[in-house]
Amino acid sequence: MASYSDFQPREYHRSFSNLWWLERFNYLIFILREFSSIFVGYFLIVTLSQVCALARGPEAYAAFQDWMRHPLVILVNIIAFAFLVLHTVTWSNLVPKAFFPRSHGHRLPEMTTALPSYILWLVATIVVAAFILGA
Amino acid sequence: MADTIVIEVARYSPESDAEPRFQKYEVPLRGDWMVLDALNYIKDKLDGSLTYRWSCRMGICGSCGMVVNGYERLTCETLLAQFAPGPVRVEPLRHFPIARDLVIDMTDFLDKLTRVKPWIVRKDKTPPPREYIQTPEQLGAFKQYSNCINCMLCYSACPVYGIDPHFIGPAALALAERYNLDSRDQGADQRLDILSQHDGIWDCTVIGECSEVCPKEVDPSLAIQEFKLTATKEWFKSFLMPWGGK
Repeated sequence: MASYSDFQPREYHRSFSNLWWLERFNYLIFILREFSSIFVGYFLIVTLSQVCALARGPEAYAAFQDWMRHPLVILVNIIAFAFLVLHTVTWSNLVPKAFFPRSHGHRLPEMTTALPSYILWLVATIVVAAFILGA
Repeated sequence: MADTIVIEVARYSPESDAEPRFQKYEVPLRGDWMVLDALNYIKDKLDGSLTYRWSCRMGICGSCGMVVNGYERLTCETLLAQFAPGPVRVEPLRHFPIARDLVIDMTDFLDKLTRVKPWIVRKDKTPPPREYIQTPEQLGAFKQYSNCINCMLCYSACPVYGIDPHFIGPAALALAERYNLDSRDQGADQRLDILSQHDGIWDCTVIGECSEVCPKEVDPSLAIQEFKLTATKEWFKSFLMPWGGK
């Protein structure tokens, strides 16, 4: 830090807290949004494990199902599901922040870009639910 | 409603203080007063040594941006009465060095602003015979970004700038995009080299708080994401057609 003089005033440089993400709700949501990516990876691994177990035969798949019924795994899955919902909602809401169609120089409502994400999510949910419930 | 309200103002004197401190003042609580009016009252009636920037009092000059009760605001547009019964805490903008009291050193911002060439760049240096004609659609493409008043609230609200001071920052990037989208401008190639560096658009992690605090609805976050798309398209073009040039 420069020493004080008439032509070089001493300025105060503030430090930046490592807990900055607790200062505002939007910062917290941002950190949780980034953190939720870990659970997306987790579900990817679970799904791949499921497919591998299915490929190895009925016994392997039964063992996989037993593993999924473990209380600890159920708890982790509940937490992971909550983060996945947060991940989907926050990233869908980010679409209008990155892509904003204009018509005759005027911005169209945010929903014009966010809505397709939600519709896609709904359709995917219905298809998966129909597949599981119909099976 | 009480007749007075307490304001806690961050004070820092480079001659005598090792670090900023808060000083309390009791000011009249008037329904039509902004926070800036309260600061002016302190300056005129209570403590003439209080130092802060202000000018137009109508949200145009961008001088009086401060952190009021934890959020970046133009103090000339922030009603004092909404914080009743108080206290109201007024601090200088975050991330910038403090020169004195509520005055920050904006040198870093001005350097970055200059780097992105926020002016119309023409390849042909000869002045045009008449003004450039623009359609309402061409104007609409960049008008939103031209509302920036350089108040620096977005820099204060941006944690990325706090963590990495090399980040060019929201307002400068929004203004760069403003000129890139201007049909009269031909300097997008020159700006691309500056903005597509790591310290440019790619440092932004889309927290979006810059757009939340912007008093002019410039939406710097959108400008940065738009430019990310442009930079990505340009990269693919140069990758697929390396002989094509810019």
